[in-house]
Amino acid sequence: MKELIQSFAKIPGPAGSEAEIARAIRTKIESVADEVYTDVLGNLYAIKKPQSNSSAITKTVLISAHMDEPGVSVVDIDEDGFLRIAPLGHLKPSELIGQRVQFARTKIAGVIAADGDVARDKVEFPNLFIDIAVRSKEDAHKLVQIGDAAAFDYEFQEITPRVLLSHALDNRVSCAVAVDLLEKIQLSFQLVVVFSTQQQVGSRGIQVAGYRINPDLAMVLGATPAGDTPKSKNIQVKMGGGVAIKAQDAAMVVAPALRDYLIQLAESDQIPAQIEVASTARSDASAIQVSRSGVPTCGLSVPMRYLDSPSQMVHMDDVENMRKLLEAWLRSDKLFTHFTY
Amino acid sequence: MVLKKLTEAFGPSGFEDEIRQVIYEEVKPYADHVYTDALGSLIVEKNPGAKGTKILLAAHMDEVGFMIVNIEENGLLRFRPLGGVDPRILVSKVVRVGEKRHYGVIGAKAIHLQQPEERTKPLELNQLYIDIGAKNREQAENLVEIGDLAVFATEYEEFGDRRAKSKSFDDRVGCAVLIELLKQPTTLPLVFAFTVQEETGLRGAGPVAFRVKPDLAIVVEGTVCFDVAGTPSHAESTKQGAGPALSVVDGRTIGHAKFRDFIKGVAGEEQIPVQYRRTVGGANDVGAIHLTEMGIISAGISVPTRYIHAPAQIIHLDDYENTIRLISAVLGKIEKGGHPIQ
Repeated sequence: MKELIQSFAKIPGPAGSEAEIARAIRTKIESVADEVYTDVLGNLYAIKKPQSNSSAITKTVLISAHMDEPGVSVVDIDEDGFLRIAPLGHLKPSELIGQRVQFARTKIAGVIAADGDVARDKVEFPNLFIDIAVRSKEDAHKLVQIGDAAAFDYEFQEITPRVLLSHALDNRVSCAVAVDLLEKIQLSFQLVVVFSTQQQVGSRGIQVAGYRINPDLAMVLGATPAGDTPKSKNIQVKMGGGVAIKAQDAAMVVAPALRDYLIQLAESDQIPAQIEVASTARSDASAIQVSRSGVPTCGLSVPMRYLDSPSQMVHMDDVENMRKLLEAWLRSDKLFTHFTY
Repeated sequence: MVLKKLTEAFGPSGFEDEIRQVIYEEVKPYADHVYTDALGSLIVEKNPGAKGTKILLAAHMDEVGFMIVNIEENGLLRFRPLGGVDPRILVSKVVRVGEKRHYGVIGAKAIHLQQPEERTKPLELNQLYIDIGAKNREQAENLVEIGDLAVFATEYEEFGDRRAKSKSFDDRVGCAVLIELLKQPTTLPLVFAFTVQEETGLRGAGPVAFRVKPDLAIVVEGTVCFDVAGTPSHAESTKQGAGPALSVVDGRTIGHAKFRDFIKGVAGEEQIPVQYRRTVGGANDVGAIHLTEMGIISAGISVPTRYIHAPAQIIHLDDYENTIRLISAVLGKIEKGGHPIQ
């Protein structure tokens, strides 16, 4: 699993430019899924049909994991070859100064810097630029197109053998969990895994995926900010304290029956778990829940330190517990009967 | 003169009846089928059922305006904006109010009466009112009702270096582009949609896209332009006279790169000037359309408009004409070569 996470985390995939991470995931799942395709928004779908026996259930479960990460998009190029940028996702301009980035399409490297006549704490996006070390607009145009997007460029590290540090762990960790699941599971109903796009800019990819699949039940895999650091304002979810079962986030509330079912499963299978009540973080769950005539939607999250930075930290225990509880849920007896609507 | 007719028509968000009728009269001779939907968008079909790429061309017909929310004892009207209006630009502007289009002026305390402290602060919305010359509430109530609408009173005028000013180029210039395109012969199944309530949150366009289910969508807009002295290229967003602006990323959309590149390629072949929209603030109907159903490949093409969402918006007529030429060439290329994205 760790190798899978590492291989996904090193690929730049800012919102709207998920083609390469989608290709990497596709390579892994092509042979284990019955059908794999992409759509207009770039979402990657993996369909796993029910086991071929007469008792197969005609239900569909959707599992989603977004592929994208925050980044910046080039909107203009100066005469001297500096690239002017716009944010893709919730980024604070002053925190970007000095950050290294890599372009998704071309792998060109650059560093974000700011106009010299603005105080650091007053910097807004129009004051920022990417320096790719060229001397003219003409030279820049040979390397970059308007609309090209870049993501943070930091090495994947194992701080300890069980704790990972990287950019894009939100949400490549979940992508890895979903890939591992596809490789190993066979179910009596149809499973559709959506590796979704543009979550960082407002869950846009999953909106059209939810409409297309129209599932009976949905599970969103993601990350939630951990609150176990000094004076943290985040909820008391601890890194290494177990997989977080979503009760609510800033954009949706999970139906109590769905949430409690997951809590019971965690208890009976002795899988360490915590409750996620995230007041600031959003997820794809809100968009699936209101798709078409509404979809029962729940979520599992990995507690993540420094979620809003390029140095995100997760504990492998939590990742493995997410994987375990996900499988326990999919294999549970009352998966389609524990709630009514 | 279609630009004059369209820009002077009344039509704040949610109350597009007059502008819809004006557009209806213009499109009727060229349309195969015309109808409105439940929200009030006007939908015009050309060659319905024909083979080929079905393209939705959309422009919103609503404009920013105001709703009267109270009539004071002294006959002055309190109001709230419909759509994003900067309260600092409102003082002393002339408006037309209500069914009878009464003239009114947005009033405020004269400079003589202001304390030094007051002069340093912009007036807020709750300090402003519309004066329609009524002596008291009773007289005002004979002229307007609570819930009546108001828009800026500016008339269309051409001046200077092929410039034109009006109250509502956002987005009547897009509506005019659509009307001119409708007049051109084509074999493609085209749907021209004049949408409602864009200024209050892209509300009309989604249901139109859901109904039409196009293979491709192009939204034609009037967009921000601040190409004045001292503004760097990336902050001016667009430049007047430099051609239609292609959207890259805005508040609601990350543009479809392949479709944008196709449009840019056509502009190159036809030697039509184009530019990119170089800022991200704001959004247009693409934001709603591209996420409809299973997703729709969409592009935003805009005429640079100075002083947008203000009483005197200015466009360059070259940009208007080049927008028509560009979209016409794009349609022509798709007619010959089929859907551009595989």
